[in-house]
Amino acid sequence: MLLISLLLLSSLSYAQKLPQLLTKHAPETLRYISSDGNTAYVKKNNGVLGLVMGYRSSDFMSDKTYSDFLITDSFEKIRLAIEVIPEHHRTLDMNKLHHIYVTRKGQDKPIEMGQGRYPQLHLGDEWISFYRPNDQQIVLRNILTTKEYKISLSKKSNPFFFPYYAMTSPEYFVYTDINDRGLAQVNLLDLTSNKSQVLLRAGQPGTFFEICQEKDYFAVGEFPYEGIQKGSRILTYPRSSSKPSGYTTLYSTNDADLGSMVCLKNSIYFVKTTSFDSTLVAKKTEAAKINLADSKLEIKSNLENVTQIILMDGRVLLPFRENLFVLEGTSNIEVDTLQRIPDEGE
Amino acid sequence: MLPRFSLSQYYKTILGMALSGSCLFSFAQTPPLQAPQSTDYPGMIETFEKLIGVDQTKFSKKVEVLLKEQKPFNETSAQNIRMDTDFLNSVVLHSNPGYIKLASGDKCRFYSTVITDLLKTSEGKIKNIIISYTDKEDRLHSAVLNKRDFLNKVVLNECPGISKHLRDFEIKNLSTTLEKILFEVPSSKDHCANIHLSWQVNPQTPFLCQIRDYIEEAKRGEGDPKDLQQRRQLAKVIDSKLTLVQKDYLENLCKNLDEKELFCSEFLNVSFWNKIASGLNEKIYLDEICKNALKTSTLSNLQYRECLSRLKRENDLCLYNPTTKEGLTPHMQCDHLSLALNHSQLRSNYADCPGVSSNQIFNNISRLLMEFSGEKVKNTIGQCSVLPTAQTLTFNQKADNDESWKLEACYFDKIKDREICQKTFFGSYDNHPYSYTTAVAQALINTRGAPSKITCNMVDEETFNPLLLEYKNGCHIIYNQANCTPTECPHRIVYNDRPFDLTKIKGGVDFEYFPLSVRTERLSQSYLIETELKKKQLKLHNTTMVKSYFKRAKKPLIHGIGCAEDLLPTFFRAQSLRQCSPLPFIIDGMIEDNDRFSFVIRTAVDSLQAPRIMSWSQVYSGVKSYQEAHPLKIWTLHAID
Repeated sequence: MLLISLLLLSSLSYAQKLPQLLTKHAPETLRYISSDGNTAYVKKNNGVLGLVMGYRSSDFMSDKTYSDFLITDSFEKIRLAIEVIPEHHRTLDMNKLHHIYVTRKGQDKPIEMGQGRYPQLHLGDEWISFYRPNDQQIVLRNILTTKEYKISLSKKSNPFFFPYYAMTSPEYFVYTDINDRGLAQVNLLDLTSNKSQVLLRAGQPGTFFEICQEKDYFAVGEFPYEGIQKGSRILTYPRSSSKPSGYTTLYSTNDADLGSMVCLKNSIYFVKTTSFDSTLVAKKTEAAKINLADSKLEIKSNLENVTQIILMDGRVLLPFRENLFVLEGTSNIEVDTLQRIPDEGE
Repeated sequence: MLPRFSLSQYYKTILGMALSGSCLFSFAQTPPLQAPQSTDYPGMIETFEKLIGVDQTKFSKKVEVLLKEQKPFNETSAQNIRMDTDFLNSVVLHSNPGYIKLASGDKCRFYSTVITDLLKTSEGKIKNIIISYTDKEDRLHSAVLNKRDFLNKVVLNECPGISKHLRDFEIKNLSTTLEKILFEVPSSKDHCANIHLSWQVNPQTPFLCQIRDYIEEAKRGEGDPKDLQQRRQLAKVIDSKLTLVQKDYLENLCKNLDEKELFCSEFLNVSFWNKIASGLNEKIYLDEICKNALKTSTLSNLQYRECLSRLKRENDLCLYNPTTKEGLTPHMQCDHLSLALNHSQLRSNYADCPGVSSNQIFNNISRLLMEFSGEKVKNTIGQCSVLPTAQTLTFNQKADNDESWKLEACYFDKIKDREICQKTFFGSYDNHPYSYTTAVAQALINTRGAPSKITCNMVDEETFNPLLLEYKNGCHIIYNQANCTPTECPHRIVYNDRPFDLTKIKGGVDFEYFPLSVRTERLSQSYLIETELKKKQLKLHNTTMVKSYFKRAKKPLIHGIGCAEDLLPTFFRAQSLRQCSPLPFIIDGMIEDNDRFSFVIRTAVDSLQAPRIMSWSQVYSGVKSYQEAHPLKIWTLHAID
């Protein structure tokens, strides 16, 4: 039986017009680019991460030949977290520890923060958290004072579980986990007392929670893992200095959506399942945008197999095979215009 | 009276006409059975009943007359021996259509189905065979032969190859013969069609179906009641020589020799869990799932049955394993997992523990090696992931490529006054010379004067108890199961109740799955698969190539590398540009629906017993993204021919 969501049929027209990100850098080398295109980090062939600012290019970091680099920022846009992946093509270990550094965007030398995966910057980019799969611990560290918390996750059967986390205030840190019964949960760590409690728990096994945050709110999405036919939902919590508690249900469906949420000021992007073929156990997925104000949902792509959406310096990007589409933000930053020298007297 | 096999009589009539007009016609020379002169045509069944009535009368009369009048049959002077047309018509009218299909291949196949009692005439099981032949003067004769004479005077003369099958299927040789026969389980429609066709032309098939029919008849008490007791005893002996799987397989095959769809649906549409219950598949697929479901570390037969019955009702029961060793969880839900396993054919009757593997290259390569070699799992010490590690290492050693294995255990030898290093991996597999247990033992012999036959054990920290006598003496490598892989394993060594810390670990492993540079092409695993295993590889770029490969290949296997963020996006998220974690995988099945299809895939982090279903689009995206990240921009989706 082939189920086709009416939603998709009514929204195909949006998708045709998705622009590609055009920059003056070779697309496969680009690791980070600012919204104006003036600051970019590019990977060079010999294990070097280059920094390009305007017309100046320099070697920013170097490692072994087959190392790769990943760069993440936050909505606060102050610092960048850089992951160096050693032996990217030879040690194929999903739990391999990456070297994690932070730097002010386009400025100072990188400072090593530790080893782990999936770094996230928080609270004015003064805090960084990352996950160490070998210890099953989330490390939360203050970049300036080196104050550190180590948060141990519960024992679980999945050796490749990666949690999501967000520091919602100086006192509270939320993170996802899966308990020994296979139920996903969002935990809330009180940083003053160093005690955790469950903020939200899934009612059924086989789903995971995902977290993203913006200045005024953070969102929790519950989605089923690959191969599991269960519903999805997105909840929002207001961000304040007090303990997070009540949530608003922004979106709820029986479709097995993929997640990959990106939080913006007025909307949330995520990957939505638009059709499911139960004979072939195959689904079609597209980028979707939901407005926070009226919960209006729009399908934004027509690629049939969207898997990830990422946020970079305010620009929402959709990586698809060799292409990089822009869902929100300027797409053409290929052209440089020399700044006019001001006339005398100006 | 309707004949015994009343299925689709219309089909039989058509088939009878078709057969007598084609291949069987060549055996017939006497005038064919005549329809009655005056016939009413009130309906198909009545016509058919009349036809059978005519056949019955004519056949018995013909036998009666021939037995009275025929000249003695002399096989040395007889020429152009043919089956009598009335005899053939009777066979067509009274036999199982599947067996007629089996008989219609060629003359020898027809003879085989006669002597194995698969075909019937109006008198039931064939006792008398009517033949026609010409003598030296070219005169046409007919004769009735009993089955024994027919075998000795006709069958063995004209088809001497049958005597070998007769020998093979004697009771004393039956076990050995059955062991040699491959009862292949299909994993796709095309694969199944090939298997079905190969059984139809296999000269052993009549003899296999004879076994199945003999047992069934004895069980049902059919045939001559005088020797029923004796036949039942013999059937019991034969039955004991067949496994449950073989019995089910023969039941399906012999019932559906002319019904490919039904034969295949037994394999592809029946729940995989039912197949395990009937013994057609191994219990290993349920081991971890049931242990988790029943919260137990061992499983009795009763518990297996309880778990099997729960699987049919509780779709979420298959999601989790009790330990982290087995790999990525949650798996697919039970119904989808069953579908994937039904269409999968990669060898998976062992555990290779991707959850405690340090490099997924080892898991993928060893899965291919275990498939091709078929070798048994050897003795393992340490983590279960030493199996894929040691298998891949041995494969590279044989190809003179262990230079890339740079992981070494080193110690200072005071007599030689230098550091001695030995290539190693943590654990031991089949007493491999690089086993860490061997390296430590050698270091103890050279530095502590340990006896030359000393052996070392690997003991989990939780098990190790220095107060116990068994740990007071000898060499023990104590490690943490939760934090140890074959290439990285924090540990300590205790020798005769004292710590031994003279070994140091250096280096790592630099295996390349696909070549990363032109210089290292000959060291890559994909190159070695071609040169050492003599397997051709074909790059698959589009759905046409994929479909054509699956249609052509007897046992399709596709291996490759894709980005985990595209292959399994809910497990491995991307938060940065060009985030691609290379993840090897093996595709070993295809689920088809009209022109569309999905793959059955095991990524190297998935348990061998828990494949997943993935669309072409998803696999293509994963491989395409990895191509962008690859230093040589090569396409990493290879079919193995």
